[in-house]
Amino acid sequence: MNRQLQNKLFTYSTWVAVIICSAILFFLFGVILWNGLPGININFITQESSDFGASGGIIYQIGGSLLLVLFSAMICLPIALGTAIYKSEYLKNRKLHKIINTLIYSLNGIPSVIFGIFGLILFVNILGMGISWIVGSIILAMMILPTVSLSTYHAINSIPTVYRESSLALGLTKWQVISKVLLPQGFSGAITGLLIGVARAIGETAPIMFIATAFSGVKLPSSFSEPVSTLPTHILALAQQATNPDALQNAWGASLVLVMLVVLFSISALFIRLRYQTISRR
Amino acid sequence: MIEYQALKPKLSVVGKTIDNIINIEGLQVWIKENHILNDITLNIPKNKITCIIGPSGSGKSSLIRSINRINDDIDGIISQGNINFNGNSILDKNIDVASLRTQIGMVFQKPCIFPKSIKENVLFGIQHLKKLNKLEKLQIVEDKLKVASLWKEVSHRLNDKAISLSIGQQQRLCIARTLAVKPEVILLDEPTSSLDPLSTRAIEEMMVKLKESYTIVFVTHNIQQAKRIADNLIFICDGKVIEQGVASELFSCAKNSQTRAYLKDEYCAC
Repeated sequence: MNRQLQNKLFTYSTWVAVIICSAILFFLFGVILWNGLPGININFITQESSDFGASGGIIYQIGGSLLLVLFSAMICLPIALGTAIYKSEYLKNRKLHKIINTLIYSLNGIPSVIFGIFGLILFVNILGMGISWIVGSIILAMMILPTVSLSTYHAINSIPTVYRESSLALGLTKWQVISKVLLPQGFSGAITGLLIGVARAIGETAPIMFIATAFSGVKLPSSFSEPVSTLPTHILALAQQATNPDALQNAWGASLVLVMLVVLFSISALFIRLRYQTISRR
Repeated sequence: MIEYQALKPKLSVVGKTIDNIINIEGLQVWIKENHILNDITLNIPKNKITCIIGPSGSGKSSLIRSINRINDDIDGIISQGNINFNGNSILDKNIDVASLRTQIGMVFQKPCIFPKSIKENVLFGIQHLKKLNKLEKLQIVEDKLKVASLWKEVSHRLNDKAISLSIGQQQRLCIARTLAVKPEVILLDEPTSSLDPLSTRAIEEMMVKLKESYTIVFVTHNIQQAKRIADNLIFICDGKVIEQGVASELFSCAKNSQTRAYLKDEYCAC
């Protein structure tokens, strides 16, 4: 096989890979859109569910999901920032750097159900916090921590050294360099990571279904110790009533809303990333 | 923390009394196993332009980066010996390094502009040191931009993004930003290496004016440039000071053969 043919074959094979990847995504999205769209209307979005979800809307499931991910983001962000700053600015020992990186990547690879079991044992049983949305937020924060931390680290670490040195040379302390120079420039990277993490967290079912959610009959919580209903667990409950066409229709509708939320977070992350890259190039 | 005092040590050199603001004695610097600077001993006279010349990799930048301890953050760096600034040892572990750097400012090879306005860039260092009112800020911006020969070009657009300036203007802005902190010494690490001849000449002229109020330490590999601006010359090769002295004397009759060869052909056989 001559070199030019090899080159063409490689180029076409990458095109095929992209087409397969895009086709799977579009097919999945198309099926959800096709089945979910007929069930979506203003009442579905604004009303509470009834009849175990077979009728009514999903307002409390949307609220519960957003509450969980909002608090998980609030818990995760400061820890991720701290880890990223320490790794980028203070940790000089390369071996320790590798060990911490390995731990973070390992945390990212743990199956989500294990996080759920861990939360059940530690927070619900041992610490007696009960099945509550705050436990769910803590567990989701632990799950998205590697994504946010690595994204923040890369954003801070990619800031050219000359910015650090120019600031230090003007008499700024290390903390002033971090707070006035590095964090403002790296913050968009952290927010991008956070939105990607949140996009993952909002679709998670396994880690929260033992520790944070009730499948029906709950509204928005009035205290930290109450469970919530979320979109993924609601879809799971409706899918178990697959013989009921109303329940199935609502499951498709809820799925579409969940996908739209994931897409919204992902596009926001992409938008911030693009804006951040533009600033870096200046 | 040790605060710096103006002790102004006077050293007698060849029958003349010269105010040396910085004295370096037996400075050795290693980065891990690499011996970067070897037994450096030299004096930096006050209110003069001291040019440090030498081939690439000879240790010029490492030397001036030791003077304001910007090297501290490099992994595996070890410094031994003594660097005295106004009579105080700056290698002392207990000194306030941030305070030291306000007195020994530094301008880097490539202009580093913060993603802020021209005005905010000038004030960037000073506003972290003390609170200033609007009038004081404007006064500092005008004064320092005038000294840096940039005021006429930017006075009508102080709130524009500094990134919109040309590279030569950006470098002068960096000098204005350094001046705003009111240092006694300004270290410049090849500040004109990425500039066109016109911008280079503007900075050289500015240095000559600045030496009335500041001590300038200027690293360059451009011998003609050193000839134009240097009062004092230090030739470094392979991490060692080969020769130092009054620039005009060194250019006319350097004692060391390596110095003569370098000044003549920019060739170093260290």
